[in-house]
Amino acid sequence: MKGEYTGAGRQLLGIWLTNACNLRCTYCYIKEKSDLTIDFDKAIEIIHSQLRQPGGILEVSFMGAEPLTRFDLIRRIVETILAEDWPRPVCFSAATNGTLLTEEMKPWLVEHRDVLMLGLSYDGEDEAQDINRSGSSAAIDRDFFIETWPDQMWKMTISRDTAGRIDRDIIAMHERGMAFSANAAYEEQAWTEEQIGGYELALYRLARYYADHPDVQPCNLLYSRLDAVICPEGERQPCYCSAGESFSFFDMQGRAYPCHMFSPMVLPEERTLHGQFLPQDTDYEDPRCSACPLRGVCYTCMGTNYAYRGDLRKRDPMHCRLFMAQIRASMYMMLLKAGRKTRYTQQDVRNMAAIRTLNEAFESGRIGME
Amino acid sequence: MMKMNFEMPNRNPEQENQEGSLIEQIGEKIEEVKSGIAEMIEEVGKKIEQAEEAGDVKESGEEKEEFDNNGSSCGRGHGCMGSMWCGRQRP
Ligand code: SF4
Repeated sequence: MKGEYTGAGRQLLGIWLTNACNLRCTYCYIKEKSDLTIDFDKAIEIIHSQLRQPGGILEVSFMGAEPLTRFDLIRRIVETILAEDWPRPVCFSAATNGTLLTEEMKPWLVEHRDVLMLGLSYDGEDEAQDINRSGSSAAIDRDFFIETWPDQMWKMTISRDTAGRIDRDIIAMHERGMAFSANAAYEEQAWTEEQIGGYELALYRLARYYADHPDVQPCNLLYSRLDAVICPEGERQPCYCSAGESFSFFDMQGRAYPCHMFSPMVLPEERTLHGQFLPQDTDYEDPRCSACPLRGVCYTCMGTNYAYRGDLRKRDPMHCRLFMAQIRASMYMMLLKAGRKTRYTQQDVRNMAAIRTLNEAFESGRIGME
Repeated sequence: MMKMNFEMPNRNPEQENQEGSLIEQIGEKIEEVKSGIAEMIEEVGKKIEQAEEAGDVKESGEEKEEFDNNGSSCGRGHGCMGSMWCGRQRP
């Protein structure tokens, strides 16, 4: 049975397909690259074990270094699973650097596009892509991805080297008509003060672009509903992540982890954290954030907290600084938009009240962990 | 409201301690934005208050009422399946 990509009760199953990758992106977090690849029978055994359990749609995600290095294996696994009937629907996905796509792969991918979705990693303008991702822009057939999977978001990563130009890169993504999610990578390479400041200035330029183009929906870095970012008094920082809940990850030996960040793909063997599930009712609040009104929406990745700081709750102060800059830029964007209006709505009134509250919190130092 | 300049300051090859002075200039620009924001809060706030007093504030309706972070449920995608997975949950 073929699966839909959305819906209640769905489960994401990450499978570590291969260690192989042809690129060397500046921010890559994978511990070591090699030709090591999962055994076909092991992959089938893992997928069968999950398909036999009750639940909604199962999405199998081929993860790795670069999944398309083993397109042959992906194809064999997908065809084998689809050849049988299962009590729950199943579909497949993979995030790819896109450089290994060949003309021979395309007809099969088009034929299977409803059951296998490929999401491209692309970092903005071609120049940014080349800076971050081994000069790979010319090797990618972007149009094929746009035409074949128009609803699939692209992953845009912001590195320290492209931090000061994200406005250009994000505008380029909008102009291509792509849905994307932009995210900063700072764990592998520390950002300098100049790069952090450059990021903040670029965010203000981006805020101005959105005010000048009200028909373009702001990307995930900026917030339009500022009343919704303020955490009610007494509420704890929520656990946003689906790791160990609707997402789990299996390595090449078939061992389970809440997500790949806890696995030997990223960590030395002695630090890995086994088990498919993480308790979701545990308090994951970072004590340094307890007084911050942004704690309700300030995202955190428990996997990177654990991998880089040894504690599921411990956020990166760098993340804190970048997030504060995003909120300031969001305030600026919404003030610019409101300043140009001639008629107001109740939402403008709520936004304005929230901007005042946030401004006071910034001034009194209640926002921020340091 | 003054027009703020968000361009990255240029490096001055003549100057000693270029790095330090660049960071200082960026810092000054960001401080300028902060006071610009405070000024805008006054100006725009007043306009909205006047509209409220005149009973000229519409019910919202055109805005999305739910919290929208435009992407993955945690907002983080690097090193995560976020953008592949949560992003698609949006209608
Ligand atoms: S902005 Fe900083 S202090 Fe506030 S919740 Fe986020 S990490 Fe914590």
